Formats: sequence, structure tokens, C-alpha cells
Amino acid sequence: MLEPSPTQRAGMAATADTKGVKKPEEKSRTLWGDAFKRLRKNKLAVFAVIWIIFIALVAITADLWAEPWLGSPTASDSVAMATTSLLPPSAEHPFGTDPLGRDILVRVIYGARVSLSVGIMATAISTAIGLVLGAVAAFYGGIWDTIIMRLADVFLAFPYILFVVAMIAVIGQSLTNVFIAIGILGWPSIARVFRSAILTVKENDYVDAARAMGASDARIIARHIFPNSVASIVVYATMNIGGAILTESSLSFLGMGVVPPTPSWGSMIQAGQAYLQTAPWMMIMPGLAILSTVLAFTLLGDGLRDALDVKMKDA
Amino acid sequence: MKKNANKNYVDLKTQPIPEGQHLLEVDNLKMYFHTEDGIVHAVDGVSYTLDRGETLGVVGESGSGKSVTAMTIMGLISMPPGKIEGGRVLYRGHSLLDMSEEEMQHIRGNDIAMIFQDPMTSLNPVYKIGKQVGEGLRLHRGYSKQEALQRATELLDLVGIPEPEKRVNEYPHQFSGGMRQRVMIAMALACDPDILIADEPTTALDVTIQAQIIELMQEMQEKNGNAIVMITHDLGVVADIADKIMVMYAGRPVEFGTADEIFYDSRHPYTWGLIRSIPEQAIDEKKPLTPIHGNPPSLMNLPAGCPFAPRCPYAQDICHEKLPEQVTTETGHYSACHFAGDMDFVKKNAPNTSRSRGKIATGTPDVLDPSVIGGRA
Amino acid sequence: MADKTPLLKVEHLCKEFPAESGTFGGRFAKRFVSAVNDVSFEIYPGETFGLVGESGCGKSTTGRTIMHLTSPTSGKVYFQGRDISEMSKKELKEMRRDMQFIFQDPYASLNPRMTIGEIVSEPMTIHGIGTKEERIERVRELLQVVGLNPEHINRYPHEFSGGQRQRVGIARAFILRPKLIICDEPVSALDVSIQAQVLNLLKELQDKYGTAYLFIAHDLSVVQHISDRVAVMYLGKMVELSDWKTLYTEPHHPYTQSLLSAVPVPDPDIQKTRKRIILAGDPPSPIDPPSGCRFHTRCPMAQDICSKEIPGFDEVASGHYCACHFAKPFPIKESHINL
Repeated sequence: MLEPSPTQRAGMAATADTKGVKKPEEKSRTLWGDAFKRLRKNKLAVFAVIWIIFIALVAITADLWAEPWLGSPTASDSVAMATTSLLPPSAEHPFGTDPLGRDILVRVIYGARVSLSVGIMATAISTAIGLVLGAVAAFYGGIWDTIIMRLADVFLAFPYILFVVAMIAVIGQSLTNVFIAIGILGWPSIARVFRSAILTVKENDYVDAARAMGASDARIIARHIFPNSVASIVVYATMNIGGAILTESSLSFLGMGVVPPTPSWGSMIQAGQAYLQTAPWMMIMPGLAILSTVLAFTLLGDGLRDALDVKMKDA
Repeated sequence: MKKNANKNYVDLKTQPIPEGQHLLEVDNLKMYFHTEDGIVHAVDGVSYTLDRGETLGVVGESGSGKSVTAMTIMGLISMPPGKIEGGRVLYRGHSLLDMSEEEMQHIRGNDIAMIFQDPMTSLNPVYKIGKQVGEGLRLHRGYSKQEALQRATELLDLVGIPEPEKRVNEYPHQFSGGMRQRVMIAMALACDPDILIADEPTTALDVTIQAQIIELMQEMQEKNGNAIVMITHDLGVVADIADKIMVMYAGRPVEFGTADEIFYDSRHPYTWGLIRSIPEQAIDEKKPLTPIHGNPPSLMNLPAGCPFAPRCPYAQDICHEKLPEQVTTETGHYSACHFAGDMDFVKKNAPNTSRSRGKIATGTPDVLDPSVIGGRA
Repeated sequence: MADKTPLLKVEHLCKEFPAESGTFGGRFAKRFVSAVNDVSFEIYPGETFGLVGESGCGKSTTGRTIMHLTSPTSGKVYFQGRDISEMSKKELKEMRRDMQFIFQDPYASLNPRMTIGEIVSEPMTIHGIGTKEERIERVRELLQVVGLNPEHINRYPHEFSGGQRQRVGIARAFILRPKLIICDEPVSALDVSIQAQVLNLLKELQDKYGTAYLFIAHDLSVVQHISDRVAVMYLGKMVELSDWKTLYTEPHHPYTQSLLSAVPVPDPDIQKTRKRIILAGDPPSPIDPPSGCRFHTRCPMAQDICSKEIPGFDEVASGHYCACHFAKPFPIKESHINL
């Protein structure tokens, strides 16, 4: 229908020679697809993902095999107590037992349920609040920005753990309240990260381009700003999960976390304190569980950041 | 009083150039980058020679390897991923590629200095200008703090920065882009280098400032007798200041010769394309521009044969199959094209220039007295 | 040009920015950057109006103010006879169907998370034009017109080179067949050989669709090549305006003359022999612009009056305006080089 002009031919020659360079059957790559490819090349991140999935699977399916095999994590049976109290790690009890004769491995496994659910739920709450407040601050600016960001500064200025402890003291001690306390108090950093990400993206010409086309604010936010600023939140939230797990452990260690006898890694360490000399496995095993899980989330976050960084590949 | 920090170091600048050699000789230099996605042939067989007082213009589009060549000579490419796959670089008869990092540190700044494109990021924002300009002198010449500052003030004055005594104590953000590029030139010239490599020194600047900076570089060259390597994407910038020009494409030099040879006797279709792409300041009628079609190839996956063949309007079968040899004339003018020796082909297709047409618009008001150089700074 | 009703009319446009951004977004700032000062011009249907000046002279701000990406401090912009500042949100959206923008940076102006098809069809999506199939059809057609392979409709911007991305930006600007496109330095980020491709493409599309351009650039040679009329700006003010040929052969303003002589000519014989005016110093800060004529601090022919009185933007010949107390023509002769 249209005669190809010289300029058109120019461009077509261009596409022809890129074709010569790339394999013709090559499919279009998306940024997230590319990021996934790069993540797969990062051995530490892959290892972290495997570890997290493994822990999650073990924790979820524990009822099916761990309890029948190793006994109840919450039992307080006096007979068992007499025979199995404070046994060192062995084939029968791979992680040893505690003074009440309960298997440490099964308690670490059930503790993972608490830790992972707190990590994920608390981060979900922080992220939800942080995204909304960060977005409001960045989009509306002016007085809203000032109020929200100064409020965040105030939150960040308080010693975090004390704040959480105080809040739990007010709303009561339960697993749900631990989610809520850690989640609600975690928003300021997420809000900050998201706000600065949006402000950076807003500077790009394609946002102006959309405005110049007559796009509504809602469309600009949904199609242009959000997809380009969400990467930093994914990274930050991943790392935040590790942080929330640590906070929950500290809370349980202080006796403000999950109510006993529900096992939690923090309270297990606290219980093991008294037996540090005689039964060190009581502290070491849950300690290793915390260490490896938090490390896994941090490594995954690091890996995601490198994988999602467009600048690193677009040299 | 001067500390002689490096007693066992011989200042190469003071050594004579060996008989029959040049100040700088680059011979078949190859620098490849080994990346995860494959080998990038960033520089592939660059050769040229340079003497004191000469200016070499290196012209090419982005990705043509013109900057990487300079960085390789300066030893500024991190290896890996970079790897020198062959070739020699001789400076006053000494091989730069075989020098240790410590020896190269003496060369850099002292014997060969470099100016970068972006004057906004090449100065450190936390140090005063005077300190940064004098740094090389402290490093290479063992100047004391006061001496270095004294000399920095003189240098700033030399490159035309008003009130140098005051300006040495200011920070980079207090300088405009043009002024920063002047500072960069002062820094580069501080140790009186043999060679000044300028990597697109005017690209980031406004046209009127561009003219100032080029004039300054020429002035400094007349005073110091140093050689200049001027890297640019704009043929116009090097038209009057370059003695020799090397045109690069896809990591390879496609043509090398004197400025006159490149502009009036070019034998390579890529050089023709570059000359034709520049909007001509014709005053009678507007003709559409003659662009080079297509895009430069990926350096990772070069086409077989001549790298320019896919975009070349005159390409024949042989161009797609065989890498052209350099066709060299007696004067040392070489062109990497299968047909560079075919004078009929060259005559028929080379662009018109002022020499063939006799006149061209110049964009200069002739009435103005050129000795009037405007206003107060 | 034959049509005498202007498509766009800019009257005494001024734009100031607060010089400091304080706690309240600089609302109470005392010092202002005078980015655009009293600029007036008209663009007729189908013509190309070039706007030239150095960085910071206000040429881009002028373009953005016309597009209403930022609102003017004072002055009026009329598009097809209607005052833009008095338009409702809905009317503004309608207007943007007819006025599009091409950006300088082909990397920052395309959303990296959208495919080429989504990017080019976005104006249609926003204005609710056509069904999905029709949009795709139109995008493929337009990709073809701008010289891209229509098969690449599902690719992402990072898979294209700078020149190809700029073609995508051009396709997006043309998809609604607008009456005016503001081109903000569309070729300055591109390599020389690609620049020529894009300039030719813009010219071709203009011939095909009869679109008017406001072509902003810092490079006189590029602007001259494509423009019918050219205006030169210095430090927020328009200093000269005329048809391209007059501006090039008989520049009246000393600044225009120096800009012209600063453009390097790719020809050693000419470049070596021609006389050049090299301006001293840098452009002054727009926060505290010089009194009188803003150019007097760098002007080779400044007199006492220049620092005291602001020169009027007067018509020196038919359709040729110049803001200089001493405006007179400096004919540029051709250099004759005899071998």
C-alpha cells in the first residue's frame, strides 16, 4: 500500500542486519525474564532460594512426618522427660533433646512455621502501609510529603525493639499481634525506598511523554511509574523478611513473642541459655536455623537487586 | 627542596626518540573484551604514528573503538574483562604494554595526559580546584604544597580562567561546564606532557564554548609543542586542527591519512558517508541529507567480510566475504576497502568538496573584524 | 505557509522557576530563574519553526510550556485560536491529540517495561481510538513508515539502538496524525550518520502528513536544514527571528553571527581560512540576568546603551525581527576557493 521510501529502506536495512546478528528465532525478552535469567547465574542467590523453599516445605508438611517420627514439639510428658531429657544429638534425635525430653529438631521445624509466617506477614503489612504512604508522599508532594516523611523520621528515631515491645505490651501477646506490631512499625523504611524510587522514575521523559499524550494521572501511575519503581520494593521487601524474622526471635528471646509452649527459635535460644555448658545444642541448633534463614533472605535480596538493575546490563 | 619521591624512575619525556622511530607508535593493536555473552572486538588492528607538535584526529561513531584505543594506550582498561590480543604501543621506543602498573602511573599524567568528555564528572567535587590541578605536580615532580598551588594558579591563568588566585580555592560546582573543561586542560598540561589525549573534549559543551576550548588547545600546543590525539564523532571539529585523521568503524581503522587526504582524497565509502551526513550549509536550496543506512554492527558478532559492507551502498559480493586489506599510497594514506585502488570508482562516488566545487558557504560574516574577541568574561 | 491563520500563537510568554527549593517546594522563594522572558512567535500549519540556542537559554522550557507540561508564569499560548491556559482538563486532553512531543533522549523517553507496540499505540489507547486489532494494524503500518520492522511489535525498547528508539518515538508522535509536533532536540543524542537518517525521516513524514514542527536544537546547522523559519534565543529571550535563508545569509544580531561562525565546517580549506567570532566567557546566570540587553556582557560590539536599555524586538525587514540596538545586516559571503 505504501511505497517504501529511502528512509524506510534505511531502517529496514537496519533491522535486517540486526537479524543477521541475532538468531532469527530468538524470542522477545522481557525485563523480568532477563532478571530471572541473571538471577539463575548467581550461585549464592540460587542456593538461597533452594534453602528458603526447603525450609518452607519442611515447615508446611511437618504434621505429616515430623511429629510421628520425632514426637510432639509441645509435649510435656513426665515419663518421656525422665528417659529422654537433655540427650545430645544422635541418630534418634539428630539435634538432641531439651530438659523436657522434647526433640530439638521437631521444635526447630515447628519454629520455622512461626518465623516464616511472622517474616512474611509482617513484611506484607509493612509493605502495604509503606507503599501507600510512600506513593502519596511522592505523588502529591508538598505538605503531604512533609507530613509523611517527618512522621517516618519520628518512627525511625525510636529504638525499634523497645517500640515493638511497648506495642505488644499494649495489644497483648499472641502470634497475630506479633505480626501486627512488627508489620506496623516497619513501614517507614519501605515508604522511604518507594518514595525515592518513584521520584527517580518521575524524572524520566516517558512520564512526560505520557502526560503530553493526555494520559490521566491514574494511567501514568499504573502503567509508567509503578512498574518501573516496584523492583526496588521487591528487593527491599525480600531483605525485610529476614529482618522481621530476627525481630521476632529477639522478641521471643525477651519473652514478648509467641506464647509458650509454641516453639519459636528465639524462645528456644532463651531456654537454652541456662544449659549453655551442659547442653550447648539447645542454643546452637535454633541459632543456626536463624542464621541460615536470615542469611538466605539477604542473599536472595542481593541477588534480586543485581538481577533487576537495568543499568548493569545496558552498558 | 623538592622531594624526589621516585629516585630510580627515569623520566621518559627527556629521553631521545630512537633513530627512525616516532614519538608514539601504535602497531596493529587489538583489545578484546571477554564477556559472558561472547567476545567483543572493541579494537581490532589499530595502527598509527604520532610526532611532537602533531595533532591526530580519531573520528568514529559511538562503539567504533576510538575511546577504547586511547584507554588501552593509557593502560586504563581493566583486565579482565579486557585482554590485549596483539600489537605494540611504543612511546619513545619503550613498549607501554609491557610496563608494570607502577611504571604506567609515571607515564600517566606526566608523559601522556588525558582529557575526558564530561567535565561535570571528571573533577572530584570534594577537593578544591587548586589542589586537583596541582596534584599531578606533587605526584610526578615532588612539588611541595605551596609550589603546587603556585603553579596551579599560573596554569589556571594560562588557560584563561579569570581571577585565578581566587578560583584555585573554589570547588568544581562553582565552575561552569566550559570553565571546568579549561580546568581539565590545565590539569592535563600541568606536567608538560608529550601527548595530550582528548576524548570528545567539546561534545558536552555549547557551540560557542566549543570554539573557545578548541582554540585554547591549539594555543597550548603551539606553546608546549605537545602532540594531541583528538577523539571525536564530528568530522567538522578536526577539519582545521588535525594534521592526520584516522577514521574508525566497528573497532577497525577504515581510513588513515592527512586531513587533506581524508577530506579531499578519501577512498573509503564510510568516510564519504560521514562527510555527506553533515548538514551542508548551502544557501541556495535544501537537498535531503544523504545518511548512511542502517546501524553499526554488534562488536560481538561482526559480519563476515568488511564490517561496513551491510551498510555500504557500493558493496559487492567480495565485500561480504573477504575482509579488505589496507590499500596504502606512497604518502602513507591507507583505506581498508576492496576498491580503494580503483580510481574510477573513487572519482565517481566520492563526495563533492570545496576543492572540487570551488565554493561553499562558510557561515561567517566577512565584515566583522576577527581580531575583536567579544566582551568581558 | 500560504495559510495565514497561525496554528500556534505564543504571546509574551514568561516562565520563572524558584531559584531555591525550600521546605514548601520553593513557594516562598525570593529569587527566581527567569527561564523564558517575553517570547512571542507564531507557527503556521505545515511549517517547521526552528528554535535555537545554547543550553539554559529557555528553548526547551518554551516547548514544555506550550505543551502545558508546565504552566507559564505569564503570557498566553493559543492553539488553533484557543487559549490553552483556559482549557478544562478534558479540552486539554483533546488538544493533545493534535499536539505531540518528540524527546531528546531516546533512552529515557520510552518506558522500558512496555513493548514497542504498547508504546506506539499508547496515544490511541489513551484517547480510546479504535479496537485492539485496529490499533495493532495502525502500529504495524506506522512502524513500517518510520522504517522499523513491523514484526518487532512485541519487542522491548532495550533491544533497539538509539536511532531505532528515536524512530519508535517518532512513530508514537505520529500515530494520531497531529497538527503540531514539538521536537525537543530529537537528533542531538544520536550519531552523525543516524542524525541524517532521522532528519530525513522527519522531513518525509512532514511532507506526507502536513504536520507543523516546532524544532528545538542547539545546533544551527541541523535547524537550518529542516526549518522554514528560525528563531534564536539567548538567556530566555528571543534575539532574532526570520526565514531560514535570511537568518543564514544576513544575520542581524551579533549573537546569531557568532553562533553561525562557531559551527565547524567539515572542510579544512574553509575552516582554516574563514574568519570566526569566538565569544569570550560563559553565558551569565539566568537567576540574575544582565541589565539592558542580556547579551551585552559577551557582545563584541556592546556600547553603553546596551547595558542600560532593553532593546525592542523590532521588525528590521519583512518577517525579520531582531532585538539589538545596533541591528544591521552582516551579509555572509561565499568563500571562493580557487585551486
